[in-house]
Amino acid sequence: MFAAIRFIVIYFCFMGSFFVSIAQADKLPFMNQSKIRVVAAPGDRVFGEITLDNPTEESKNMRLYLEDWYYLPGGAGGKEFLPAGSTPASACPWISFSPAEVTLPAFGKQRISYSVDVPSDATGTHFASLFFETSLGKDSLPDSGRSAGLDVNVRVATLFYIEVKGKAARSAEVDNLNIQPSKDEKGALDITLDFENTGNTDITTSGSFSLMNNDGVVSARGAFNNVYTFPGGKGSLLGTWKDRIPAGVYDLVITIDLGKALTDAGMGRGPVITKEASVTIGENNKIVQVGKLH
Amino acid sequence: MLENNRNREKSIKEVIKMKNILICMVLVVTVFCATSAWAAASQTVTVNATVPTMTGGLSVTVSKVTGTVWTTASTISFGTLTWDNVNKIFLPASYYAVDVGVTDNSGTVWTLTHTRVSLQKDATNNLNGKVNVSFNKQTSSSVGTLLAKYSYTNSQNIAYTKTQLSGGWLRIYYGIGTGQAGQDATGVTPIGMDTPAGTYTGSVTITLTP
Repeated sequence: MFAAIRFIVIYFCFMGSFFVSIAQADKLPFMNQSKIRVVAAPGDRVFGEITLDNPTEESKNMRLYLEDWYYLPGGAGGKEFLPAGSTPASACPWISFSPAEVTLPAFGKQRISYSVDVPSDATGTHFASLFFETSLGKDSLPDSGRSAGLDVNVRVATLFYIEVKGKAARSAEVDNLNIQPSKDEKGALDITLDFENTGNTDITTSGSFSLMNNDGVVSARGAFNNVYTFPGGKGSLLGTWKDRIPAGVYDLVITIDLGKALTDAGMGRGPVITKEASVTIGENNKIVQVGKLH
Repeated sequence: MLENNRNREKSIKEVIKMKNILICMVLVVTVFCATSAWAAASQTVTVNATVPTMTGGLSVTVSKVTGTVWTTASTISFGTLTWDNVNKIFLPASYYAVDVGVTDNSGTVWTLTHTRVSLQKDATNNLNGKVNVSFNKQTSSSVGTLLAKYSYTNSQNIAYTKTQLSGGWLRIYYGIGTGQAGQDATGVTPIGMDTPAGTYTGSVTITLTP
């Protein structure tokens, strides 16, 4: 009997502490869109809405503002944010939104209206980030001795990609094929390629490789990492094959889809680059010869 | 005698009445069960549920840690630092932990980025090289793996992706340099008498991006 009571007390204490810890977290409102890709002709105006949804029982004050952004070098998808209008591909001057400050009531929703005005002489793709920021609190420090304190701000972003219809070129160069033993896994092979965005729009790649023998049978197949670039950006494609491949001469077929960002946005497909090279593999996955990529 | 007979008749009637009520109840239950069974056997109920896309769900908890006691806070307030007469440095009573969780069902490959604004008294005096910022992946409230440790100076634009934090959440510790070997991040030194007295303020921003 006592054991049962003790179990119940412990259970409710545990559950109580769980709910307390959850309740103490400061939760930001959800938004219904984290990426907005707009394809609009020069001179067009496009309208849209973002919905914020407060899942908490506390009202939330948020400040909205635009900034520029770009993919960091390397193509891994890291981003840097800069003040609005500081990059040549900034879409900030094209975007208007309202309201600029919101107070979301408990369990309430708020619609943010935006419009995009594409200049008549615009080309390529332009980018912006709409931030929703809130401060967790303001520190008030004693004015004596040595005191220190940091305020904590949290923000979430919706990224804008404004593609100028008929003026955006999606093209890339894939070069420097290299096949070598994997640095991370013993016995595995790493297939690497250099990627360069030669167009005037952003490109997110999705790629794959197939190693076919003389009979046309696929002996190895895998995927490359995604590479994220802005115009002129470079990155490295890496695919890994972990299993043993019988010694012989193979045809390596590489396919790089330049339209992953379009597909993800449900806006169709982009161009695909296909490259081939002859590869000779010896015993124990030893690379004997890698032919020219064509 | 007549009274007894009347009572007996009355109780017999009541028994019969009860019997009838019971029969009716059994019948109702039987019919109900039969109907339910028949319905279950032949009816198809279409169930629909729409799960809305929820993106950008960022949850942040600031905790003040004094010894082993954790209390919820809204800022990272080291307060007035006290002089440690043994080590000849200024130290606070507490350090801070900021837990950052992401709720997102959109499939977005999100990134959390830490940026900071100088922790300074004025244009020439700051504590940027006096504060440790440690990034950890927590798999429970007490189990975590150190991802990296920086000085506050070098904690600008430190980013972690959904993949890197898979199966856990990000916890960032903020603490004043102690000068103890192996404890402080590279470039962090404790606050000594060479640091001018005054109020040092700054801010950190946690950004969630798709």
